[in-house]
Amino acid sequence: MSLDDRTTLLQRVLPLHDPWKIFAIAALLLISILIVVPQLWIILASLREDGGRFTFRHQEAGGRIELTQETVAGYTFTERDGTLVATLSGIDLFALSRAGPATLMFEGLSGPLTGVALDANRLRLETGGRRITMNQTVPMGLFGTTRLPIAVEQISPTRFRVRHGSNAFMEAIDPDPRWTLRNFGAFLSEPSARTALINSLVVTLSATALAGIIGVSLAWMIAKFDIYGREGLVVLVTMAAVSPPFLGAYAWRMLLGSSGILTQALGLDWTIIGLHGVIWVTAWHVFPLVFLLSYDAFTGADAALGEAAESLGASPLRRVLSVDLPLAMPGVLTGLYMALISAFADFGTPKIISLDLKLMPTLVYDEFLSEAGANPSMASAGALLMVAVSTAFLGAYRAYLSFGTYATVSARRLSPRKPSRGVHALILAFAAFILLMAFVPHGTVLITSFMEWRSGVVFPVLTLANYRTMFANELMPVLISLSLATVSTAANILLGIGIAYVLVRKRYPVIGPLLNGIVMMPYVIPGTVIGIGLILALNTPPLVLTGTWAILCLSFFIRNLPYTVKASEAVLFQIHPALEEAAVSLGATPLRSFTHATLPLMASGLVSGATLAFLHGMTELSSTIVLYRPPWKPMTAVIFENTITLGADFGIAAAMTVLLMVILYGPLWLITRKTRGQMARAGAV
Amino acid sequence: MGTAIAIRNATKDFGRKKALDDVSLDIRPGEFFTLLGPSGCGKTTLLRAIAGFNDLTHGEIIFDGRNVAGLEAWKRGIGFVFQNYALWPNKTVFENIAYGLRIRKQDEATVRTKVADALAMVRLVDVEQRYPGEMSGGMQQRIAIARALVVDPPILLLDEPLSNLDAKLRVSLRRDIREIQKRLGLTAVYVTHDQEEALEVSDRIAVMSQGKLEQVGTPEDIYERPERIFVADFIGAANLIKGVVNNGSFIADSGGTLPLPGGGDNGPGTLLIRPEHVVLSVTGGIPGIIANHFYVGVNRRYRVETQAFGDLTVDTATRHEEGSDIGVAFSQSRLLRA
Repeated sequence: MSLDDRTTLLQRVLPLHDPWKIFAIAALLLISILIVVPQLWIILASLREDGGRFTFRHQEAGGRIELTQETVAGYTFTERDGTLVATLSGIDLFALSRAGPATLMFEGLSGPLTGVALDANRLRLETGGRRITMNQTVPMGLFGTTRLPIAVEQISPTRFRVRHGSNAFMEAIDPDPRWTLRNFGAFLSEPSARTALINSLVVTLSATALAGIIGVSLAWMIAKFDIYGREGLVVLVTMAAVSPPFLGAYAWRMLLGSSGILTQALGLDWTIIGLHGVIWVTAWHVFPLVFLLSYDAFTGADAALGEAAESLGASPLRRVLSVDLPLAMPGVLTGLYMALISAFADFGTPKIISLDLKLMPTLVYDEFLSEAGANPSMASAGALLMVAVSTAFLGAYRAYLSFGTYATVSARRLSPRKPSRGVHALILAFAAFILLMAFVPHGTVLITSFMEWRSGVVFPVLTLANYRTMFANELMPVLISLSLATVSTAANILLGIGIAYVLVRKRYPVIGPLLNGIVMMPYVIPGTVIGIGLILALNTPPLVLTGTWAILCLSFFIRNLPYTVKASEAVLFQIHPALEEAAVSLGATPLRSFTHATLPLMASGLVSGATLAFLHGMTELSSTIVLYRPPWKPMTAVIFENTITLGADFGIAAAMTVLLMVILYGPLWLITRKTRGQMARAGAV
Repeated sequence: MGTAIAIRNATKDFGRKKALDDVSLDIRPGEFFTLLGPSGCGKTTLLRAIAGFNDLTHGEIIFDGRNVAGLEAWKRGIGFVFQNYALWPNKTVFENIAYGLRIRKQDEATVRTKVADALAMVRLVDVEQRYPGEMSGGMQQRIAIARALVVDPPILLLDEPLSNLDAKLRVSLRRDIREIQKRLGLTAVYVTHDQEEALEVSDRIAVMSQGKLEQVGTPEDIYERPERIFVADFIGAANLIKGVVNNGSFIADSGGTLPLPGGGDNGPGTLLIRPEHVVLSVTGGIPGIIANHFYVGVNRRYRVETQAFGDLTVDTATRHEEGSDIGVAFSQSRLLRA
């Protein structure tokens, strides 16, 4: 190999001449670590099972070996003629029998057995590739039984005798985890998990159906008819689209919960607590997505296509069914799909509506973090099941879209018709009802934030006390939320622009498709699962980030990455590559041509993508709730805690929600008026 | 006469498709050289390879004796004019044109003078502070040409620069481009699918089809002496009659026979007869019927049905009624083998 050959080889391996390739490789590494590795950890955790444990007592009276049943985990025991046979993963491991006073006999059933006394009270056993450590606890009886140290005597390669204290309790632990698929089976065979899966599917499908009926019909009416206050209505729905995910649940429960304001005022014996409540609240939370994307689809279609149908004699209804609706279908479907996955992944609504009701996100959260016996393996199995379900949703959606492309270049937009008076009034009433329902939560929280709360009950006394308490005690969460949303958004935009550029313009083989695939992964991974993955992956050296500000920031960054990359891609598609080539032909380097020609043009288009990422960051709950530890407690966590804890300060939660809404809607109002629709489209993949 | 740009065995694979298939060309200094062909023939791929915007799968591009393989586009120092103008909408006309000068770190006074000169060259005045979006397509393309030329590139590449403009503007701007090119003594490589444009402005034309070179020659060569059926058909209107050569005669598949003055080896061939080389006469010749009459302004165009040679397109000034009998003769013909 000549020197020249070696230089070319080096250039191939290390593409120093192409800064974009270096960036692409670096980005690929970074997002692999942040997105793929945590998921691998979840898979590993789901395949692990703790080694197992049991406790028994060797009782002198009656000469019995007595197993403490509730301590047995992993092992199964069968008794044959006074001999206990221990079985692990279906393999008979060893047999245990009495061999005289304070003496036990161990016999290996799957190969040689060795025993070593580690010290006076500890014994180590090894057989069939498993290690077991036993601790002896000797009760000091009334008659002062002799306390003997553990002594081991090997009799044959498979047998040894152990002498120990009389009446000793022996606690055995197998410290090595085992690899198994049983967690999945166990998860699915557990009634609570099956219920959670069914509940989740029922809620997701019914809420999406309800949101679809509301969203699509309103969108069609608004697109078709010239309604009073049309633009304002669209802006309002856009604002509803970014309301905090838990706001609806919290407000509806405040109104119609078991001690809700309306429940008590009207003496209802009906409450919103239950599956029906989760469906109702979720539907109102996700309908704006369906509305905005359907509205764009209805107004974006080329008017000439509908007119062609009419000129051929199609009746108005037939025109809608045969032309308007099929043409708008991809947009409508994208809206429905987005509603579907956000309804499925929503953690806050079911948790707030009812602590007892189990849906997949809340069940996985409880399995992972429950104070009474957390089980990361089961939680991981559940998390993977959630990813599988949302991947199935995505698969169905993609499969439908691939049946045929309906992309039309819009030549002339549909101009809305003047409706008759009656129709106009009906549509206005319908729209007013929808807006009322969509904004009930906002109004409720706003009003109650100015009322007096005493141990979870609201009193009709106007006060600013909630705000005073909040500003005095809870200002840190505001700063934490703002800094998290700002920093993660900045990182999203920086990396998002770069990744989009590499994907759209460079189209590197292997690196490009890999990058695209990994970037899109968080799109189907529910927030709770992202949180669990990050904890599992970043809880061991070299990187221990659990409970820090950084881990929250990483989570927000990961969750928003698909949206910012897609938004940047959409902007890039609008910018012709020749603009950059013109700079290159005049002598600008690739980086310079990018920063001079493309970047300035991207900036204005990215405002909506950045706003969306910021809003998501400010309102993130489902991964926050898994990841946050005091003192790094964002606003959403404060609100959430104050809503679900019995007798907690609802007033603080209300005041903080109002503050959150001010932070969200202030900037949004200005931006929405300019770029309506882009925001919703940025989310469509 | 030297070679400004030599292309040797240029091949470009896009997946399985060959966008360029073993193309070799010599472009002379100061020449207005046109790559002509239908869309997808590889002409733009070749132009972009010369610019360095895409690389070749194999083959070489040599500028004035220097192999530019591996030389990045920004180091090649060529001017490029794009179909969609590619003016930066966020910069004024002045800043668009000044861009290349600023990259070359020229002082402000020089920049001002050179931008003014460049604008004068493309016959624009008082547009420095306007933005491209406010201007017509023709003006934008003039600015793009000024931007490419302000840094004195020895080579100017033009990628269908006129195809977004309306018909009249196309004619005047292509004449301006040729005039500027000749005045500055530039080597220009011009890509177009418009054969009329190519014939008018070029010193030489390379006709391409499916990634391959069909013929290279002067506009006269290409039009009057096409070597292949594709070229004859693509450039201008043509009657192409299939048949065989047999002992100095051409026998059309439809039955007619013509003496071939130039002779030619026996075997299958195609006879090219341009519409203006068909002579109509009411007094004799190959019998036919005027099937259709199209009025096209300067001439009349007829479709004449003959038994011997099939349907013929005829351009002539004389007036004939549709349906009338007519005699046909050929003033010029050319035998093509492929």
